[in-house]
Amino acid sequence: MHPASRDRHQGHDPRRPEASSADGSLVFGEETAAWPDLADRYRMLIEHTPDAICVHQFGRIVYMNPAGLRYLEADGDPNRVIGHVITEFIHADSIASMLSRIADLDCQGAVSEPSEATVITVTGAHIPAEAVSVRTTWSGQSAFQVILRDLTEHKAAQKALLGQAALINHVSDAIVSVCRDGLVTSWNPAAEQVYGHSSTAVIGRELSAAFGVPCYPAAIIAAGGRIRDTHVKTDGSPLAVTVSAAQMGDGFVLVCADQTAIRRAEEHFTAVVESLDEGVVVLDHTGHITSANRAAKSILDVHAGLSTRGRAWTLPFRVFDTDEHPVDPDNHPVVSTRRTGLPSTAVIGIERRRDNRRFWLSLTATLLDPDDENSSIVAAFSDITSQHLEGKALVHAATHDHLTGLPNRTCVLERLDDELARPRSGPVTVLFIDLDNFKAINDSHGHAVGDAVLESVADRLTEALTTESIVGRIGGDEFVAVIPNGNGTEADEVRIELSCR
Amino acid sequence: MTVSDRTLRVAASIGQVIVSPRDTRSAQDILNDADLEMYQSKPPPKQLSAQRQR
Repeated sequence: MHPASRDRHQGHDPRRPEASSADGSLVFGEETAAWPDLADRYRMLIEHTPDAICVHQFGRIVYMNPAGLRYLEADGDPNRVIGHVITEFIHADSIASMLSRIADLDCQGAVSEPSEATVITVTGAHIPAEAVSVRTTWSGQSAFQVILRDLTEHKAAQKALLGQAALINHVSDAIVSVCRDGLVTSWNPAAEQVYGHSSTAVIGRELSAAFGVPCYPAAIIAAGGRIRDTHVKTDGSPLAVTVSAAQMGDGFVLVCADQTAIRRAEEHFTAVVESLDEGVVVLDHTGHITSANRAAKSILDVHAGLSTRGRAWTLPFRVFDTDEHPVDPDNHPVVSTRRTGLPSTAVIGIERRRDNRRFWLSLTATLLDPDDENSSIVAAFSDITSQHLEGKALVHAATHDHLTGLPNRTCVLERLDDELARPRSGPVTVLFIDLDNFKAINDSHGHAVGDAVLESVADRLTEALTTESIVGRIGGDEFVAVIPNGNGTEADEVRIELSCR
Repeated sequence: MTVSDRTLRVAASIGQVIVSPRDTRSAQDILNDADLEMYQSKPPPKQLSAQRQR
């Protein structure tokens, strides 16, 4: 018997005839003077009970309490329900069981066992419910009172529990529970798969025996709930696992994830990064180096744990830019990436303190995890020292005369333009110097002597003029001197210098 | 000058251009003008005197 319906029948004889008032609420017969009071209390109870209660007679609904109307989503409009055929609100699959349920109610007051039914609301929604039917009378004739209880939440909870049970049976992680004494109380199929022990072989045994190594769940919880460990399988082979532990009731539940593949991949990538010619350094958000590969260690003299912040001398190297000036810490690619979150690339020079050796590095800094505001930064660099020096040599070759080392025509014009663009108060003197009969020297003494003459002239010109001056060779035997702040006598000075020695 | 054990007499012609702060010529123009100046000061071609030293 439904407990609620039992309570509801206490204190009055259910065989008493019932009747409906004009407004549809329940009233009882008038034979006994004491009854109206009791009937009123019973009516109040029915009106306010959270269970849906309805009375149907000859297949039609004659009464439904407010909870029932809410249940059928008809609380705004009782006429959608009252007077309607009961089967309108019962799912076709539930009708047969409802009919057999009420067919067994052979006498007044007989109560059915609770049974499940699917109720259809006025909006067409299906609601699982538990129904108890009571044989009663309505207006002097036989009727049925039905008490419905919404099972939606109950069903959802049941489904969730089933889901969890299914999950434990189907996950790939071993899930093991142990009692307070450390004896295994459950061992899921994944645990059987991963460790090779069947559940019957380990249940009731020590956890440490099942894992092949000592395991203390309380210690795992104390260490943050998660550790990396190596267990032993039945066949004696090692098993890399991450073990998570949680208190559960009197004992513990442990989830052991097989990390063999991940750890192998980790080892693989570590080996790859180690073997790279490029340097790779990972810095955490506090500026500490968390890892550095072989190339990074050998070029930068850095190691894990080293702080890159604080005073400059803490670093085993000095950093400078391509103009060979010290790098402003704010412009360092790592600092710029930390500030903007964007990758940044730069060519930087470093001078190792150990041996003052200089390297040129092409360095790229990127966030390891752009979604994390405290992300680590990966700084990867290639040693481009030889290319950088070659590049500088190429630029020099393109702008200087190979023989004398003086700036060539292009370079002289460029520097003269720069000089003219500079604000100045005095004149700039430009000398065009051409050796007389140089061709004859070449012809009579050979090119080697001619070249030596040109080198000697270049040296004398350079010596004759101040360091502010520009001396260039712009053709075979043509030289140019640009003299800022000249006094007009430089041509004579040069003439003397060239001819007097 | 003494080059590779030889004493050579090397003379040079020099063209001079003085560029005042208000001058608007380009570097290329100034160089051309200095070149012209140099040609005007150049002596007519003559035989270079050179003697061998032992």
